Amino acid sequence: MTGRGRARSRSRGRTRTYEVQPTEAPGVAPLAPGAAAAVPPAETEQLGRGRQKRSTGAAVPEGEIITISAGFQQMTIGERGGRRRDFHDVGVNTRQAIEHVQESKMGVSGAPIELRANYFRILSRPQWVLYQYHVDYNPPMESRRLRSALLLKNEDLLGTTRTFDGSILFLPHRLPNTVTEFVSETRDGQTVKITLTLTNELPPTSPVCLQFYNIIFRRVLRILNMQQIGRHYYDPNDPKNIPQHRLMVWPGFSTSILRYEVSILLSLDVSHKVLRSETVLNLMYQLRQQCGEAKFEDVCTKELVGLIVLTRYNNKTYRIDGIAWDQTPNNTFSKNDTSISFKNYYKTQYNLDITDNNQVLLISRVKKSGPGGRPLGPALLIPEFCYLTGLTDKMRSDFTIMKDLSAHTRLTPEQREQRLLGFISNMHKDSAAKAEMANWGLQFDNKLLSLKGRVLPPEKISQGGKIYEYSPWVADWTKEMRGVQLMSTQPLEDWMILFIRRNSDCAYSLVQFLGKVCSPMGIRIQKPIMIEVEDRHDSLMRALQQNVTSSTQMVVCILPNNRKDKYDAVKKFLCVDRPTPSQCVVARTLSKPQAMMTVATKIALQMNCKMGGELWSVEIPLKQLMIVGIDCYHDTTAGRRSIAGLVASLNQGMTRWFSKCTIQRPGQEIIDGLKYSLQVALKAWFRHNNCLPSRIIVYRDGVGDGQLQSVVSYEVPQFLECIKALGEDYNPKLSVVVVKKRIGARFFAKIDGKLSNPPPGTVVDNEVTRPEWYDFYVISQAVRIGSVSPTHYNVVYDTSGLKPDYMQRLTHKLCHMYYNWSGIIAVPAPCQYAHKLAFLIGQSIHREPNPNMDELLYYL
Amino acid sequence: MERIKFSPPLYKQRYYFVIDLIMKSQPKKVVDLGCADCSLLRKMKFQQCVEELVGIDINQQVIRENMYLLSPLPCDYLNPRIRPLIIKLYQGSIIEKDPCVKNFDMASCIEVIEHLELSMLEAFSNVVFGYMTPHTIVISTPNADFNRLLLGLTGFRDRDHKFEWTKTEFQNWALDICVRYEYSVTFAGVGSGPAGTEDVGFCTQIAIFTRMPARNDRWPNSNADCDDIHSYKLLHEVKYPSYCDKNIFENALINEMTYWTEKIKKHFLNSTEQGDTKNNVQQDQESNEDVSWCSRSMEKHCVNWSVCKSADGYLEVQKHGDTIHIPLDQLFTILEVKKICSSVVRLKEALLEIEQFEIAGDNLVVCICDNEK
Repeated sequence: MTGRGRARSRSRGRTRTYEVQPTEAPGVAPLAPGAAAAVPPAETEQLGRGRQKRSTGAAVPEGEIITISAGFQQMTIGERGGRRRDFHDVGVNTRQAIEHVQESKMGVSGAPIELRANYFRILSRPQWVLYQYHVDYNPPMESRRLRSALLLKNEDLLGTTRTFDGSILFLPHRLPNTVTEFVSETRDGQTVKITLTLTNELPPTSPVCLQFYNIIFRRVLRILNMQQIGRHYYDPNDPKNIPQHRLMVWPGFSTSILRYEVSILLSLDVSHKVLRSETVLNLMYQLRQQCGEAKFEDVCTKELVGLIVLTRYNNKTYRIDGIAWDQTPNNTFSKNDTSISFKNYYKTQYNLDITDNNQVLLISRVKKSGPGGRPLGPALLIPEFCYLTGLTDKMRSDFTIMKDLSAHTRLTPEQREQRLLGFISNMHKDSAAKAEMANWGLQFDNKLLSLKGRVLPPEKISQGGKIYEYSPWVADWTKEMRGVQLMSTQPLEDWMILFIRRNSDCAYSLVQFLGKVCSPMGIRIQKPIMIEVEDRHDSLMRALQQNVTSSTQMVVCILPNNRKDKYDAVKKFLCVDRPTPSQCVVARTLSKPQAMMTVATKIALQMNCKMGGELWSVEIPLKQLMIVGIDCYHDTTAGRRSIAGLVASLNQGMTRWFSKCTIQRPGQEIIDGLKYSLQVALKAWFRHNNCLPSRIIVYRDGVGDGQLQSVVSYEVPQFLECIKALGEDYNPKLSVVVVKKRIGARFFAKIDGKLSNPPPGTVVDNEVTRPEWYDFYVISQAVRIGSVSPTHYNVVYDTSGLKPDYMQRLTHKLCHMYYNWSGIIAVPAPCQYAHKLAFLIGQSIHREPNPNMDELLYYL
Repeated sequence: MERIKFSPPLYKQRYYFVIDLIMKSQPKKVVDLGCADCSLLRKMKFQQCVEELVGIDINQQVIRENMYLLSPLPCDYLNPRIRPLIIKLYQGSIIEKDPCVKNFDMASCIEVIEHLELSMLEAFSNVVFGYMTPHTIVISTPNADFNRLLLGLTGFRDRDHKFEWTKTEFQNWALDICVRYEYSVTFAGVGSGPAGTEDVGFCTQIAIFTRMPARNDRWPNSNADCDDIHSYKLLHEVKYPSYCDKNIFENALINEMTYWTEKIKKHFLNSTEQGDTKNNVQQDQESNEDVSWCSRSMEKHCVNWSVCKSADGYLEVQKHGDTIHIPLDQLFTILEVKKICSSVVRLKEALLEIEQFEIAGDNLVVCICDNEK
């Protein structure tokens, strides 16, 4: 698989609303031309958008429920009353239970480095507090609007700066009395007694106050005419057009104000929104023209489901969940007990004319519940009024589109700084925005936060008895490993190549080049069985059935194109029915003679890994340690099943891995599968080492924003239980680390007077970490274009007693161990393996693979 | 007697009434006097004919709290309006004059006058009919005759009402206005009572005043003396993206032109290379014959597709050395282009102004050399 494909699939799994943020996953750095490609051909499938959430609070929800807040923690105050999710996992405090990091969670090794981060300090007045009042109505008032109107009639008392959510009032100043009573009158003359009781004086660090800051900040963004789409804000006045693809990129920002290690900071990151000046109807026309009537329904569903659309008449985004093939704008729905056709509804409500009365409607399941908590039925949308946002999968796999896009979205550290500072200065210049903030006593610093980081020394790579170092800035040892024997190899004796006649040249030249590259690596290679098949699905499958035996070590398929179905069928057969390592290569990859050496090298390395060979290792000082990596893949097509991949180390050098994948059944928690996988992994470790590991470190990837609590309170106890089940006296040290790649933090270093990416191995464990967590950032990888995105590690459970410094270094070491990339990657290797595993199963196989494959990296 | 319930609710019926009126008379400049929470304005902004929308209310807080609801939606940027729209919100009293709302095409004053003291009504009429002089004014107010049908109602419908007029009182007032300010009036209303109570009239009575055509001549520059007195305070102003904005227009045109010329060029090169365009055309025609839900609109939409089929003789995309010439009137058949430009002449003018396009006669010249270079 090429790096490009890998990077893309990674970032996609995690996308909420698709923003093109430069995803500097390991592979984004351009690969050697035409690198080996077991590319799951055309990424035409629905990819992991499983966790995509509909935006909330974009517009006034009609008839919404009043949530009268009980406690502080649960309290949510939405600017417009909508309930918000805790995307920042604010309430989760895990550090308090980890004894050895109470004093400090900072590491010591490495060279200090001055860094800048995309955070801004809040400069508020000393002793600033927010006054919180409880508002009581007698007689009680139901309607929130009425409550609001009644209270606000007393402007002279309250002043113009205030925030009221229906029951709680916030003021920047204190009223003369703790309890204030006054009488207000409704429009029909009813007298209502209103009692304001001061319930709290909130310091800036209180969670409520932070939430409040965020609301004020969103108001400011609104004042600056930024448009909210999903969770972020975008500037519609400066769109970047990419006319050849009919795309438009709106630059914008993701913002949040949170309490960090020592102070409250505004985190500001550049975000981009891809919009299309095309309606869904237009896209449907095009699809129909391209694929014809017969396949239209299928193709259309595949293309559209999962996309997020904007509607013309309100400020909401909807996710397309399906297509109502039997509904057109002439169909009616009931509104206020009368039935009205969609066509008439849009005409009377918004003066919008539907030009195509035969278009089918789109279905979007609305998660929010309606008045009285009744769940709302699915919303039906008119394709003509829906604008597409983001990219379809087809577009994502289109190299030219992505290239044209990245020209706008990939920003160098300097460009990024410029955008951020530009925004802050605009905010300071705008008088209305300034007034809003001043009223609340809110002010932001106008420069990036400075902080200190450390750069870990480069690791030594040992391979086949030799030890070499890589250049610290490049973080890649492709050159260094040339001509060096691999750590351990598997001979290629009983293997075969399948190809169609048209590609027989490719096949023979591959064999020839493999012969050349294998011996310096130490791989013994025999002539393969050459099998020519016809360019038909069944021909290929029949050839596999007839030729693959239990002694076959490797099957190479040269695929004529990157159609996914063929790839899927091959992989399925060779992972489930007849477990054999396999390598698919798209013929085009083999078509350039000048690139053949590189391609053949890549393929040889990959095949060796798949058969159980080892390439290199780094020194891991801890003994009896099992590293576990977990990632999830969310399948949107097949009934939204989730797939959890678990990969666990089998030896000291972290060169052999045990992999298990579980498919979550409906109604089942993902952890149930993980528990089982962990148990088999421990048993496998036992088989290899004649003992059980005394330390287990779990790197858990695939945790979405706001899901941390469930990992802490549900998954960790299950891990413990699972370990306990292996024996009463078995009591290993366990650490659980949540790994997150898609985060808003960016770090920059001043190098030669220029703001640049920090060098690989940079660790940040102060200032921008969170006081309630044992967390740190590591930039392991190097990127050539754009800004590097650091990986965030949050140790949520730790009985290892391992010093933070060790934890950081071990984590960075593990980023060296991914065998599909001779360089450092952004996450620990087991996470990337687990990701690849879950991705293959979710994308192609849809079934649990044969256990015979468990100890091979067959999914590389 | 049962409690009367209006469906849709009465306030909505009033809004629909005004919106209907806008649809019929297609005003360009509309002012809502007493706009309160801007909910009527929010409906008005969807009317494509409206180019200037003004809201005035005495209560600035209520405007401030709702004014951002009138901001353009993301889609307004994706699909700019053909005609401009500017929305302005003022804090001000409708019994005071301000030139910013003079000579509008339409003014609405929905459920407002009953909140004025009777003594202020004279000043109101003088400002609205004597100074603002909109072409059409729609005024609604409760019908006091109807109150007896509203169960449990004692006194006025709202505490803040200073008066509620019977049908006769309202009509007399209106007719008097007409005489004094040279307007004509028709009466209507929304919310009818149960059968048998027709004589009572509507729950909300509405008067639609129209300025007499001859009036202008006799009231030259009426009250021009107060034109420099600004009594309203501008709270919010928002300009909607529209093709009348030169930047937006040019950007949109560049986008569409780049997209379509790319397409046409590709198609042209393909078809000349293959040499068997006949086949292609036939295939396309076949697929167009399918009777399906979108095929009809497809044809409409795809005029431009047949356009591309140059070899068909349909259209003269001509090759001149390294360039191809695409006739402008062919480009103009593309729906999107039509939407942006009103005519071929306008298209040509616009393209001539944009540097990156080359025009020869009535053709757009497109270079077919590799863009890679």
